[in-house]
Order: sequence, then structure tokens, then C-alpha cells
Amino acid sequence: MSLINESPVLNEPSLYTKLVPGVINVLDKDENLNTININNLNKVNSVNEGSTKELKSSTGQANCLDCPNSSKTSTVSSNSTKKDTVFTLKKWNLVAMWSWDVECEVCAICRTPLMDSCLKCQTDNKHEDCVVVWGECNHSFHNCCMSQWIKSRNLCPLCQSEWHVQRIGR
Amino acid sequence: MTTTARRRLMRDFKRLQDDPPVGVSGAPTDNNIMLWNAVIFGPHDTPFEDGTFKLTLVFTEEYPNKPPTVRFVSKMFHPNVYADGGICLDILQNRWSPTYDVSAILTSIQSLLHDPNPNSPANNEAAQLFRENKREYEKRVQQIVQESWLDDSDDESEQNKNEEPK
Repeated sequence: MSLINESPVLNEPSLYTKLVPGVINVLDKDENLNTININNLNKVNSVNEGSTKELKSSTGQANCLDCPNSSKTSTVSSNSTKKDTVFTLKKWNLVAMWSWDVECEVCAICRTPLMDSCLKCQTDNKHEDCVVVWGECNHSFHNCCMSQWIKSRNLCPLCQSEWHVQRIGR
Repeated sequence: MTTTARRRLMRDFKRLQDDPPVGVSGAPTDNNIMLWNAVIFGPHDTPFEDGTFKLTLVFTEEYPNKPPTVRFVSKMFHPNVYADGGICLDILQNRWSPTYDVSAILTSIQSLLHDPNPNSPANNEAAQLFRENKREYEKRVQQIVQESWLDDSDDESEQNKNEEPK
């Protein structure tokens, strides 16, 4: 779909709007109303102030609220005319986020990434046996670091709840 | 000798430099990473405002599993600071967690200046004045704020203290 891009407002810094899943209607170049399904999108850059307001107040659909003919369902309404339109979404930027599907957390005790050996094992040059321990609170630390700490107190250093090992491994 | 505690303290120092908290600073002494000097600037909107309070932190090889000993070197008048500069702060005693670092310790002490706890007093006079006579409390604090600027070197501070009218 090609969208109209003519407003000077578009050059201003974009408003970062979180959209709820649903459907919004957008006018395209030929002023046909197109429906965009945003069920699979989390973040959308919306630049038109009016549209932002509408999108925020919507409960999943960004139809024009004042016009009686506007469709409130998620079906495509192709017979709407320009007169019916309260706002036009003139620019549509998608923002995608990605991250590696691996843990790269830092052990809160020794401040070394959990993927690496703990500071003590690095000092002693023992890289093989340094494993990670998860508590029932779901906080994780190097097993070496945690076994030293629980000699003092059997509490999770992060949430202060009683420490129970959930699993040990990599 | 490189130990876990020393390596951790190097990390603490790096974090303090990379991400310095507002109003506190600290660094290990030249020849001993287990002994740190720090300065806490009196927080705004408190009677401690504009004070520059010096502290020492002494770490053991058990750090971070055991907290350091933290002490004000500058004279202090605060409900939770002992006459010898020792600090009564739960996270430095029974609520210590090995996830704290120098940055967290210093910012906690800074917030203790903001919010004294008169219910566990280390300085009874300060605690009583804080509860019952805020004006006198603030006056006494302002005195030690002024003294905090003077103790740059020990000789000088002794001299200045002697010159000061009582």
C-alpha cells in the first residue's frame, strides 16, 4: 500500500505510540479506505497528532468516531468517502525489535556475564565447571558466587526471598 | 595478588567512573584497592546541602559476601552516625546483599542524610533534636557543613577548629 506523504508535520520528531491489537483504516493515494490489521504489531511510529489521539483512545480499532457510517467491525469498509474521514494516517513506520535468543545477563554478585565463568573461576583459571544456578524466585547467579553467599544468609541477593534452588546448569 | 574481592572492586570502580551517581564520588587509595576514599555531597533541600563529607571504606577479602566498614572521616551530626563516624545503616549490617557495590553504598548513605531514622539512633542528641527541635538540629548540621569545607588537610583543620569561636 502506498500512503500519502505530504504534510510538513511529518518531518517533526515522531511520537512513539503503542497500539493495541486491532484494525485501523487508512486512506491511500487514490483515497480508498484500506484496513490494516495490527494484531501482530507492538510498536508503531505515528506522526499525525490527530491520529495519535484517536489511536490512543481506540479499543482496537481506529475508525472515525464521529461519522455514523463508519464501520466499527474489523471488516474492510471500502465505500467510505473522503467526507467521512475524521483523520488520515499519512505516514506509517513499523519498528521491529529483535534480540539473540540466549541469556546474556550479568551475575549480580560478581558482575560478570553468566555466560562467562565467575570471577573466582577466572582467577583460578577453572573455566569448565562454572555453572549457573536458578532459584525458585527465577533469579540466576553463578553457582560458585551463590554457594559462597548462602554461607552468610540463605536469601536471594536480589529479592531477599528465601533461597531454594530450582535448577543448576548452563 | 589478584583475588575475587579485588577484581570485584575494580569492576565497582569502573562502574563508578562509567556511570557516576550524582553527588557522590569515590576511588581506591593509590597502593591499596581494599581501602577507598569517598566524598558525599550534602543533598539539596536538606540541612546538609553544600557539605562535602569524606568517608573511608575498608573492604575485606570476603567482599562482596561481607559489607565493607564505612566511616565518616569528616565530622558528622546525624541521628544515625556514631561519634567515631561509624554509620548505623541496615544495608551495611544485617540487610547487606552481595549485589551492592560501592556506587550503591554511597548513594544509600547519601539518602540516609536525606531521611534520617530517629528510631534507631546512633547519636541520641541528634535524634532528639531531629524529632523535637528541627531548628536547633538544622543549626547544628550547618555547623558541621561549614567544618566539612575546612578539613582538607589534617593540620589545617586542627588549626581552623582551634581558631573557631565556640
